Amino acid sequence: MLAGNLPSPAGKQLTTSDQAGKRWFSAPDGAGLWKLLSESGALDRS
Amino acid sequence: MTEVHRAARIEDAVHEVLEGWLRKRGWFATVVPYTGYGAPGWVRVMGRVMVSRPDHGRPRKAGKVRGWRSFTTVSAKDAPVTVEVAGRRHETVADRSGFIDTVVKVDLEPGWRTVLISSGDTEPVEAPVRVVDPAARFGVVSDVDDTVMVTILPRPMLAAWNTFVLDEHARAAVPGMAVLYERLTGAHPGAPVFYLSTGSWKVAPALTRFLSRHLYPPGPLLLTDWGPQRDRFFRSGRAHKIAALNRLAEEFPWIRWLLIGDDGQHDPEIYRTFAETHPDQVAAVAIRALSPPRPCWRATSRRRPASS
Repeated sequence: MLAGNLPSPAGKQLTTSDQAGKRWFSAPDGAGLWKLLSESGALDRS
Repeated sequence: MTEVHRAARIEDAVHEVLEGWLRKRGWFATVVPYTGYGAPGWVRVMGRVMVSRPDHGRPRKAGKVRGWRSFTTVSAKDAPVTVEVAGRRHETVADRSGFIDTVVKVDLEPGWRTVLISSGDTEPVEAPVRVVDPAARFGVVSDVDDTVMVTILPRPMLAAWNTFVLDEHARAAVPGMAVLYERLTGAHPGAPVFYLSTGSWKVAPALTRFLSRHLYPPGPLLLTDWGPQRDRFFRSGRAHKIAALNRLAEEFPWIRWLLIGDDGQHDPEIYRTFAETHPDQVAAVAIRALSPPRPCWRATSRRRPASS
């Protein structure tokens, strides 16, 4: 599992990983998820 | 043909007696429309036939609507249903829970459309239908509890309070999720959003109001029928979600889905299974991380400030 971790303003972890051949993003709220999704480019191909 | 589970037979018998008793007292069938969806060539129309109390022209009291009220409705079993789409009528029958779920072959333009549903001599009601654009290549499938709406499912007593006791207007949205969905659909115009939950179809009207009140993008709900099933005592939430995802993959093979859920229950496991079996139809997976559950006494106790 690859992971890149960023601390969120609330001190909680924003994490990305690769599972089942896909990018997985995890955050405690919508703002964190948007940050990860928009910065990753994972949705650009769609 | 498989034998119907004993619990389902008992439930059917109770419903039959109750429905007959209510109808003798003037209650009548009414259709509750759910949001449907489709693509050019077909639409899936959903709704429920219920038995409702005549209001004798009295306006309903505005005020608190507690969650348990959604679960006290009585379904009309095997009710005849007419669906009118683009001027053509299609006859079908509601299931043993009054649930209407039918696919109609019809060519509608992509976008939001309306179909009419009626049962017997009831007034037709309008049901919105999202016709997905074949040019859309991206869509969102979202869980509901603890992903868009705070339920706290990992703590059953709190979840029960939130679901059954709390006034529906007091239900809280998960911070930032409505904005996330707005940005996603803004970045991908025409992207459909489906709300996939193990919640009961009976809460669909309250859930639709919640989503609208918190400015979530409108979209079809894919919920379940709580209570005894034809083949088991209670529905399997996991099986329901996997079946719904597989159906979407079959219906929209050209769409890659962003799967959004939370880590409070089974979403990661379900999404992993779907990603493994449909690798070309998953764009990414987004999981809302819930705070680790704390014991109740810690949530309510106050700490003394450390003495200096």
